[in-house]
Amino acid sequence: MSQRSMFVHISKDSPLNSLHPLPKLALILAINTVALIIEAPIPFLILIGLVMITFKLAKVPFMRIWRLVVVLIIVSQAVIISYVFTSRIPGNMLYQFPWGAYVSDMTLLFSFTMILRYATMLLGSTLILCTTSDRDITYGIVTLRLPYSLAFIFTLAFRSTSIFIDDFTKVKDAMVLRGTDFSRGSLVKRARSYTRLFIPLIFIALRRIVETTYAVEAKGFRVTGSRTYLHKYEVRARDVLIASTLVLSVVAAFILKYWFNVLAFPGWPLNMILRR
Amino acid sequence: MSAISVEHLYWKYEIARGWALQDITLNIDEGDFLGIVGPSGAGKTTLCLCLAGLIPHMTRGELRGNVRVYGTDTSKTSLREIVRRVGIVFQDPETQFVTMSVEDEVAFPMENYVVPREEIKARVGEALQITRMQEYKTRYPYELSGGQKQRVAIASFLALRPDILILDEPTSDLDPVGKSEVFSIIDGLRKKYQTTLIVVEHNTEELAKYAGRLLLLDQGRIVKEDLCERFFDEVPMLQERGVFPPQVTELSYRLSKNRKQSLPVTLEQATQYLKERFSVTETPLNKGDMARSTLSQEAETIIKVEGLRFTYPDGTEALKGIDFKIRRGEYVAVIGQNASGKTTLVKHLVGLLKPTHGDIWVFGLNVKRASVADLATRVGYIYQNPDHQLFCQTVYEECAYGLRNLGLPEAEVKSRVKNILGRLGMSGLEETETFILGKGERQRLAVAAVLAMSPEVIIVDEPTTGQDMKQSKSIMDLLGQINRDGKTVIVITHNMRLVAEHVDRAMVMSDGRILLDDTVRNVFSNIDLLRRTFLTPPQITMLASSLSPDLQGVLTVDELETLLTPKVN
Repeated sequence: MSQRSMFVHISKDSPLNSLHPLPKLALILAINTVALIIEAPIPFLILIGLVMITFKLAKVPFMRIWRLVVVLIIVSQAVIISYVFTSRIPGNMLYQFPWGAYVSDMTLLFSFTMILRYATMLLGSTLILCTTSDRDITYGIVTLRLPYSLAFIFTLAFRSTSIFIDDFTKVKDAMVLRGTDFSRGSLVKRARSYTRLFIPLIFIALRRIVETTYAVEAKGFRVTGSRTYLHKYEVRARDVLIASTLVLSVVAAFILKYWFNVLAFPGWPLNMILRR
Repeated sequence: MSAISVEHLYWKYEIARGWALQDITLNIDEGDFLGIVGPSGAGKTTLCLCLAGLIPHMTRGELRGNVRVYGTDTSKTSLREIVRRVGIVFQDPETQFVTMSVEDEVAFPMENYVVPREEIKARVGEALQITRMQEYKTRYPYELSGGQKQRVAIASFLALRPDILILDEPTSDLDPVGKSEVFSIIDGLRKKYQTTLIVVEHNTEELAKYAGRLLLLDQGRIVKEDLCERFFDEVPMLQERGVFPPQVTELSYRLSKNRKQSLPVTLEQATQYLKERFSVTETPLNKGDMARSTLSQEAETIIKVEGLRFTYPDGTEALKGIDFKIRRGEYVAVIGQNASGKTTLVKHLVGLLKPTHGDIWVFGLNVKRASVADLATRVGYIYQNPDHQLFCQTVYEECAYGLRNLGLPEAEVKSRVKNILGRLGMSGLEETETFILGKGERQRLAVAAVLAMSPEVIIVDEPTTGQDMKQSKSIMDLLGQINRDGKTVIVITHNMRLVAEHVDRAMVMSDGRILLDDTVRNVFSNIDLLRRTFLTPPQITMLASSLSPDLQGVLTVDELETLLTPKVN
């Protein structure tokens, strides 16, 4: 038997599943913060490797990661275009544009590093959304003594993402059933088809907002004041240990970058190789 | 004691030109069960929103008159104070879900009202047991079937136990036994906790069993309000306004000469009433003559399903070995309890789902190897929710969309659109924006857009959900006409009355299997098997059986009318 996380159904016996929501929230924050601190490609590759091992341990279906490749290709294109045409990163110059920007070997290495950064953030966030339910996020935020209303709005927004994806698939199927071919035709024709696809999605979203607002009000939700909870989560020693380790990892990453340059571009071990 | 009193209530939405409600005056006593009926667009939902305080607190517009809940004017009280006493279950359960598991959804209102954890647990368990949803408590509500979603929505208010419970078409997606159970559950709630019930419903047969009073709303006005026993006396007037009285009442009305006498409104009352006054003709029910289908047994098989099994990614085995054939020109109903696998099955026929095991051939194409686009030119599929299949700006554009994709010349497109809109009673709406149409009209437009493409097979998933009886009948009549024109029609529905009146063959599904596949008459003669699958035959079929064992398999009021003769005193 499985249970539904934000994005997929996951096995109940996954080790991540049994964690308290707090270390799960700490994990998502840690991965994204560390990814923003690091500027070195090799440490990024190590971090991505660790995230992939966690995916395996969490028993997240491989297809979920595979689908990210398309997103990553689009992101990579944008990163490469922006750095190649606009940056001035010192190194062995390969080409200079008339407007002053130039491409060096370091430009390419830095672009590659930035792609790794986005890949890490994408994989890390997906990992958490694949192993975390709205209840986890709510309880995690409430454990941090933040207001429940904040947790509720946050989870509602996240949940809407998966509903939006479901709606997207249904509308796209309906269009295909009426003869739309999203894979053929000129770019303009395909763009027009996708534009059309968003018309019902916007309508459905607006209707959902109105009706969900009614439902939330009718169920007695209030922004302030106390409330009770159906579930009770116990913070165990291992949850504290994991959360503390993650916080320490962020601090360590900060120190390693700004004091020791290990995580600063080009970072370990390239800084030693390039120095020679 | 008055639970709700309404005095000369008028309401106009900010963006609307006319009044949605006009001069509504109404009193509902504590513990009453008030049923509200009326055609689509009559203002029933608006009235519910007013009674629940969501109008005027959550919606902009002009309000005149007043609504009092236990003596407190709703426009002068905070919404939170009102909803503490008034619960409302909306028509579309999906939009009411705010959490990601069934038990969390049921617990959510109680958590907001600071009910202690142990009490929440107990009430969640009880509400899920009553609504037969215990085994789904950890499931994601959005992935449940339509009927299960409605049960969850109802359970969340059952657990909260408000003083007044308003249900806006709460059973439109439920199987027949599920409908009865919901009514029985809420009536039990009324008896146990003195809960005041206000239920909007098209299914008058269930309302007649439980409601003390009924109210007919049309064009924002109360047209009739009376005790349930007297409410259905004016059968033609009700039918004219899109309300179909219970079949037993309709039959009694037709047979009765004394218009001043109240008519029976329930099966039990009608059995006694008719047994006292009528006898069964000696001519037995000629099942052969009454069979509608003239389909040749030699007709070509166009759909063949062999050993079909399907398992969803979460591990739910939705189809557990399905085999059947459908011949060209058949009119088939797929019926069954909620979550029996009906929608999953038909999605395979258009390639939206691929079998986990087994094979399906549609016009000789194996769907495992065919794309949705390959099948779409010959098989049309109409979704349960019209919002997912309307993506053009105007009604005309919506119908023309598929035709243009087929490469038809514009003159042909125009002619086909005109024709189909005419047949669905939507002429004159060509330039209307699709998204300002009411739900009933959107549903008909979704049907029109697919029918305009003239596919050889038309699959319709719950085409009558949320439609009043007049509109439902009009859609089924159209599908019947299309079938007589030679098309194959497959319809999923919980409306057994419409199946009996329009369809030839029925496949009864239960727990991912087909339990019975036969003519509609034979299927509805098998009452015991139907009960096991949470289905019941139409009320008229049940009435005929209770009048005489020889009358098993009667499908319509017309049929039974011809088989009864007045007793000579």
